Amino acid sequence: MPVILVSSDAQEFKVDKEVAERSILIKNMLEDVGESDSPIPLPNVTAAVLTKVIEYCEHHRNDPVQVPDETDDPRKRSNDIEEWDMKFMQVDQEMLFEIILAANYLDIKPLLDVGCKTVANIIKGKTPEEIRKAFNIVNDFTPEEEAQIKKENEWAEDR
Amino acid sequence: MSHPEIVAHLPQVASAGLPHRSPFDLPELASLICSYIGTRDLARCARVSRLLHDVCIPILWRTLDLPRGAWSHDREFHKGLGRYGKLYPVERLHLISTTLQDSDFILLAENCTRLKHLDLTFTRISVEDLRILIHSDPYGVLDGERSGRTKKRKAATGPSLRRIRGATELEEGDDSANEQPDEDLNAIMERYRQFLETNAAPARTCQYNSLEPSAAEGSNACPMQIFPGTKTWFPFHLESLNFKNSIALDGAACLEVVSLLGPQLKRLVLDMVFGITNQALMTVVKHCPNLVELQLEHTGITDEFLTSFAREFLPSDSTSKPSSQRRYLERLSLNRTLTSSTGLLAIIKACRCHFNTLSMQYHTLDDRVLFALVDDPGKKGAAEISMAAPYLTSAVEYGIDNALLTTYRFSPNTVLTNIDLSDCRAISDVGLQVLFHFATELTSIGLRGSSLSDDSLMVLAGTYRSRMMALGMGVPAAWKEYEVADKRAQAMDPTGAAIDLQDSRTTSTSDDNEKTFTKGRVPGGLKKLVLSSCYNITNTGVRAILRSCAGLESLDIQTARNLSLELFQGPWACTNLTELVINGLALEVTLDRPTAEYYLDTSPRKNELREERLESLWRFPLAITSYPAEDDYDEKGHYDHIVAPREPLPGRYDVDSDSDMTEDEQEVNRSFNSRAGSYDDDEGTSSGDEGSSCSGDGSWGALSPKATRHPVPREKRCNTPRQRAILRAFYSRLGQLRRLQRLGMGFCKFRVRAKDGLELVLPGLQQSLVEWNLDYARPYRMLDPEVKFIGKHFGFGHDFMAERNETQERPEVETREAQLQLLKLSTLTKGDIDPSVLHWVGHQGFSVKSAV
Repeated sequence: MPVILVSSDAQEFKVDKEVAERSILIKNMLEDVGESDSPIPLPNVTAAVLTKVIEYCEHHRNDPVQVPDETDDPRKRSNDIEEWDMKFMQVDQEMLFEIILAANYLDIKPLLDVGCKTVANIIKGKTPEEIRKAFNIVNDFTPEEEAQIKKENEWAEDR
Repeated sequence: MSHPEIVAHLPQVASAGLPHRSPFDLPELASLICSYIGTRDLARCARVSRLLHDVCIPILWRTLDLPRGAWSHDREFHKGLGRYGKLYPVERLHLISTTLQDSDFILLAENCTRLKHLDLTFTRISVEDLRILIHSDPYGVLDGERSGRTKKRKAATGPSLRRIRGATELEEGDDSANEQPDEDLNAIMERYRQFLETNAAPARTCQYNSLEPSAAEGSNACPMQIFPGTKTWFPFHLESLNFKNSIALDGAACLEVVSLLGPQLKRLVLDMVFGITNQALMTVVKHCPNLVELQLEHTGITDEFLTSFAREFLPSDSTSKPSSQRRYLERLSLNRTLTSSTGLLAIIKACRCHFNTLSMQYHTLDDRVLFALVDDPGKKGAAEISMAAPYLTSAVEYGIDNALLTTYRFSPNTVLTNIDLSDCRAISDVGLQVLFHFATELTSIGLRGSSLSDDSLMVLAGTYRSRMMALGMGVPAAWKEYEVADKRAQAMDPTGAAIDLQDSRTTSTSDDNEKTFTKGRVPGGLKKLVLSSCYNITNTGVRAILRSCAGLESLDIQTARNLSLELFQGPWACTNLTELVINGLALEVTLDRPTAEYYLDTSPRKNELREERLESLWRFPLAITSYPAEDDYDEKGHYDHIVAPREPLPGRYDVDSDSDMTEDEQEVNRSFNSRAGSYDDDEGTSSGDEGSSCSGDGSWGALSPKATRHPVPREKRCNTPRQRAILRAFYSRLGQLRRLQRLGMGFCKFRVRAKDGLELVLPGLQQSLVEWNLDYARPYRMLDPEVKFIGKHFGFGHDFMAERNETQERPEVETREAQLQLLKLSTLTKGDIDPSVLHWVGHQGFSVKSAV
């Protein structure tokens, strides 16, 4: 049975239940509400973003449920993105951010992970100034503070 | 509105209608992103903004993996530790090869109160240093029996306790510990930690401002109030200690201090720590009921320890602690110890259902240990024996008594995941087959230098496939393809009927309706396999692995001398490899080590030859194509072998006589002769100046150092179309491995030539490869075109000639697609390459190193 999702700009999307349930938010909602064909409003997601998200869920509809990594190391790897996902994430930055926020809101863990890994890969090798420029982040440190932080974490930078 | 920040935000708000939303505005998303970036980038991110600082610093300081020398020389780091240490707890501290002083340990004890993992590999710490950190006895282990413990005695146990009073007062202030003498140690540990949490837990979400020195004093004041006179705390969270190669440590004395950690200790690494006695280790084991990992490589412990340790797990009726309080050992490493099968059998019997990692390199253990791992004596009936029946026949072949096998009740072991049996000479194929059949969840297998044969690999691959079937994922497509092709090949090969196929025992004819696995991830299952220096395995066995184990990530088949590059042809299931080491691999089975017996029917290599014939003629025919004759000559006009002859044969390298050459070769030579100097073995050319070699028209002699000179034959065509087809198949396979990060191709017995289809590696390797080993012990491995190729496609990608002409026009920040960081070339290879090319490739963004 298809599920109808409504984006913030009032566009309707008809998707299979299986696809929609990639989103834990929708899955829980459907479980709470039970069988019903009333549309589900998603006020935080625009149509453009929802199209992308649905594209991702369609492609990954048959994926097994993720098993959490049992590795002891808290640091995770960012270079194990699958090829399709990598292509999927080749969008402009605003869209990338919107996808991440939507994945967070809709609770689609694999999509959120892929998005965050993509952003992490953009950060790699950049200087603080380049990072600020790339993501439009305002420097709210005083020069003294920044110098102090730099000094104390120098050990991590020259490796 | 003059504030620059507000102005910066205005246009976005106006244009987008909605305020610009970014994951960097939400701490939990920023934190998730930052969990994927490395140490260096974390430090840079911390300087971007206050929010990112608060997100990155805890992640950065949670694991301190210091570069060499930073601990001793970086004063700012020490200041940082003082400032951050308590706010953002350091959980893992690696001080590998660091020179430490007493004051360093006081610093540690004061600032890393939440330390969980301490790695002191290759440090010269002494027992006294350790006593500063582990200074107290909160669990009363020194008194031996807990029932006899009193407050007063505990306070006076040793001078170290009086030296640092803090933790002692914590105990004395904690009356309940004494009121309930029979309380479980774990409960006490929990209570201590809660106490620590409630009394001294710093505010976790701390703005940078609060890190100002005055504020930092304030946060320090909290513990100081509780323990006047000291800031030192017992490391209540320390659970993992690594003393590997700490040569100044006296084993027995250090173990006395270590046992003070009591129930906290979970992991203890004592590799190469000398002076460890069985008794000293027993005291640790007795006092630390939660110990799950023990690494004892190259220590002096013997079977006596293992047997008495095993007794600890047995339910006892005497006064000692009931076994329910003790956790079972899960990881044990006994590399190079003097223990034997007897001790191992005892400990495996005690913890069989809990072991997940066993490492026993250079051990004398025999098959009985492997059997014990999958033996369930408690099992009723003999039903399981029939499952092992296929092996019973081979057991006879290997000279093993059937009666021995029938005494076991084999049953699947789903706990064991890592096993390292490298250089264990006493184990046989039967033992491994039984292990591989019943230990279904093995993820990492180390078998360097062991005597296993293809049969074991067949069982391993078969177990993997049946595991996938059980998971409902179906048979790997590559295996199915192989089975179909094999059936066809057997029918078509005229000589087939005479020889029994080796894999007939485990290959089951698959049903066409079976589900086929093509892509996706296999949860669990074999990930890492080390088969280096296994002289008895052949392509047959490794192919079974390659076509079955879809989840394999790391494969090491270096110096397995019966394998060849022909492995890379045909379908593969394991396309997710991240590490592949094929050092020393031959190009073809047929050309490697042709001995006299090779041509006889009795040759043990006959089956291998047949396998290759089946494979490349009938199953997956090699795409053998013709190629232009000049491809067999290098750019200087000399004959270019793919597989160089081992040593020059006298009389065959007379370059001036073209009598042996075919017509097309003569033609090629004539065309080259105009630009290349004639091949000359004279002293005169070898001492030619650098200038001539740089200009590109120098002869071989001019480029190679005199010592490494190696006559290059140019007379007869030796490269076969088959060799080139194998190489093309190899390169295009590499091009499909899109996750491969480390590739070891050192000492392979073939040359790397750009014209053999090297460009086929690009689709895969260009986007993932990090380390490429192309080391070679002999000259002429690679020449200028290959190095230029790597520089162009894995470096910044400038054209070589353009680089030389317009060096000024480089962009300020260079970018490149490829991930390559390290290229290993031997000095001998470097000697063959034009110095200007070598210089150029050294500036392509990756480092070029010599392994020798």
